[in-house]
Amino acid sequence: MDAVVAYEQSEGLTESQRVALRLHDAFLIHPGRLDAVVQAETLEHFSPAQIVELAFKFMYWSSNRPVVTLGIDAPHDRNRLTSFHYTEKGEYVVHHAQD
Amino acid sequence: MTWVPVRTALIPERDAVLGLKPDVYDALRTLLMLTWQTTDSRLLDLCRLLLAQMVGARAELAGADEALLAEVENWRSSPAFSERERAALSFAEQYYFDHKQITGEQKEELACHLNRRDMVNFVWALHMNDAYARVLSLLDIEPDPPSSPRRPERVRDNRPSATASGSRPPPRLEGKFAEIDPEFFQAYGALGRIVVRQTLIDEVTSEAVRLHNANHQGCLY
Repeated sequence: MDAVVAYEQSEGLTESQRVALRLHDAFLIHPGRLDAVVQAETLEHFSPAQIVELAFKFMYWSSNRPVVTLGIDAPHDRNRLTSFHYTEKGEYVVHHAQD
Repeated sequence: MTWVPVRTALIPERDAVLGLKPDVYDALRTLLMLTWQTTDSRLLDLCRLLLAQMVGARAELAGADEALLAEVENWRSSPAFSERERAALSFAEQYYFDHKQITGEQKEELACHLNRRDMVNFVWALHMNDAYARVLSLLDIEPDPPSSPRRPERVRDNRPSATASGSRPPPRLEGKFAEIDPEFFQAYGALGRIVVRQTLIDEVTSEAVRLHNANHQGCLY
């Protein structure tokens, strides 16, 4: 998480990952004012279909906003970091402590 | 025109660009159509236009009634809106800027006009339209040509074909999602399952985006 939050300084991320996060920042803050440099970097690192996939992923991940707004978000386990995976069908499977 | 290099000669730019991921785009359009029936369509339409104005989604604003757009843009001083509509517009405006800063007063104001179930479904419908407008704005999608037919997902009170055909609705939900319209929730789940199966973006980058988002949104999951 630290690498992602301070992604510009993080050595653990590739340049294309940093570009994806810059584009994500634009989506979150003001998508209509996308910086020309970020736009050029995005085109350099990603194909058109990848750009659209990123935009759709930004959109889908942002769905925690209504959950937070409505006060119905909560950690799966307050005592530990919970891992999860998606099945081949895209189903969300949480790994509980006994798993 | 969009900065995403695609061929748009024969179809509207929105379809050419978002259609690069056709399964996601189809699921998203179904979900957007459902938002018209899970909440008050007039409230949603006003808030959708306000969000599109704030986010700069020109594709969403083209073709809208110019007089209404002017009223929406100046909703605070406009006499055109009821107290209920003003409460929804105030909520939507703050939702756009920062959902974590929506005040108790703004929530209470809206709760005077919407019961808990209606509030929950309004917020989800608002959110999907906000997220969609952000995608259109980020990619700078241009408006459809004037001769284009109206988009089913952008027509108030339109229903997805499965719903219109009278197929059996999914059962009511339980737990903390109990108040969400079950059909909407089912379509939202379908969208999610499709999105997470997309593989052009590698897993590490996808996960970095997911965490970056959770941090920004203040999500505890």
